[in-house]
Amino acid sequence: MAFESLVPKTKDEVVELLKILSRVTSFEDAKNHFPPKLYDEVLIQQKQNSSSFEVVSKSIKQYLNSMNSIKVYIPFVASRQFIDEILKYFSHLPNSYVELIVDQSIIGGVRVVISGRVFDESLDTIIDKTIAASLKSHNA
Amino acid sequence: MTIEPFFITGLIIVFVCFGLIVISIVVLYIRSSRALSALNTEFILYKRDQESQAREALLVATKKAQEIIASTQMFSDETKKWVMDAVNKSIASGSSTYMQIINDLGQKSVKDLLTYSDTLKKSIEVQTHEITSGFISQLQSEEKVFHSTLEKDEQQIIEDIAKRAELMLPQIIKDASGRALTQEESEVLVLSSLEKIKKQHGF
Repeated sequence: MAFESLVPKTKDEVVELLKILSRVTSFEDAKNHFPPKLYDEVLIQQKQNSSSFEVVSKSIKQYLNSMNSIKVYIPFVASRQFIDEILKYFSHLPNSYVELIVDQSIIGGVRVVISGRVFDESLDTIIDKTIAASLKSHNA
Repeated sequence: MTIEPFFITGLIIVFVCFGLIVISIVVLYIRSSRALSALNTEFILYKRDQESQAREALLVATKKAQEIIASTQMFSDETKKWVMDAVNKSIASGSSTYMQIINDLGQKSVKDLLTYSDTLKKSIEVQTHEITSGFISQLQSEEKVFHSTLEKDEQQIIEDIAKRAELMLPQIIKDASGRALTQEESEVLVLSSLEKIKKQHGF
């Protein structure tokens, strides 16, 4: 089951949605506490499947827990605006959220891990590779 | 033929004078003989006395010499034996005087001393040369080992420094790069890196 309307963009959003889902126990309660998009999705599911709130909530929780994490390592604490800039690069990937991790050791650039695959364009790795190659050619 | 009384008297006088001369000569001869005989006796006694004193002195000196020779380490056994034999022979035969023995002994001692001195000098020179050569050789050997160790140490130090530099270099560059980047540059770098990854890997 896909909940396209509530596709979260970051891990924080996933965690927040799961917290809310665990607190709310009825449609009425959901109306007051759910974000508009989530509440809309709950109503849609309830109408389509004539499901109870518990079933709908469980479905949403399962969906959120099954999402793929895209880990993005950056060397500084990013502003909301800059986070949005980063999320644009991953918005087309289905059932995925972005987990932003601040790691100053990468110095600059970015390191991305998607489903265990590492895409490393960090300055840390670039410097190491460059020096290793330079020393190798010097020693040879 | 008649002989003149005057002539006869003259002959008698001549004979008497001749007789007196002969008598005087005999008396003088006897006196001289006696004097010579006494002198000879006195000389013999003197000579005996001198020889006795000399022998006594010789015995004392010989005994002393034997003690010295026996006690000293400067003479070889062969030399000691020669000196002992010479002294003993001289005493036994009585042919050598005290001075001859002393002279011989002195010459032998001097000769032996000179020989010993030369031998000692040569021995010292040889030993000194051997010790010096050995020391120089040892010194050169140790110097080589020292230089070798120094070169190895130097090489090791250079290698250690190079290794440390290799280890430090990336961190230095990273630190410098990290400090050099502004927030805006860092953001641009992140976005450009993401763009590059997207293009290369097509996600």
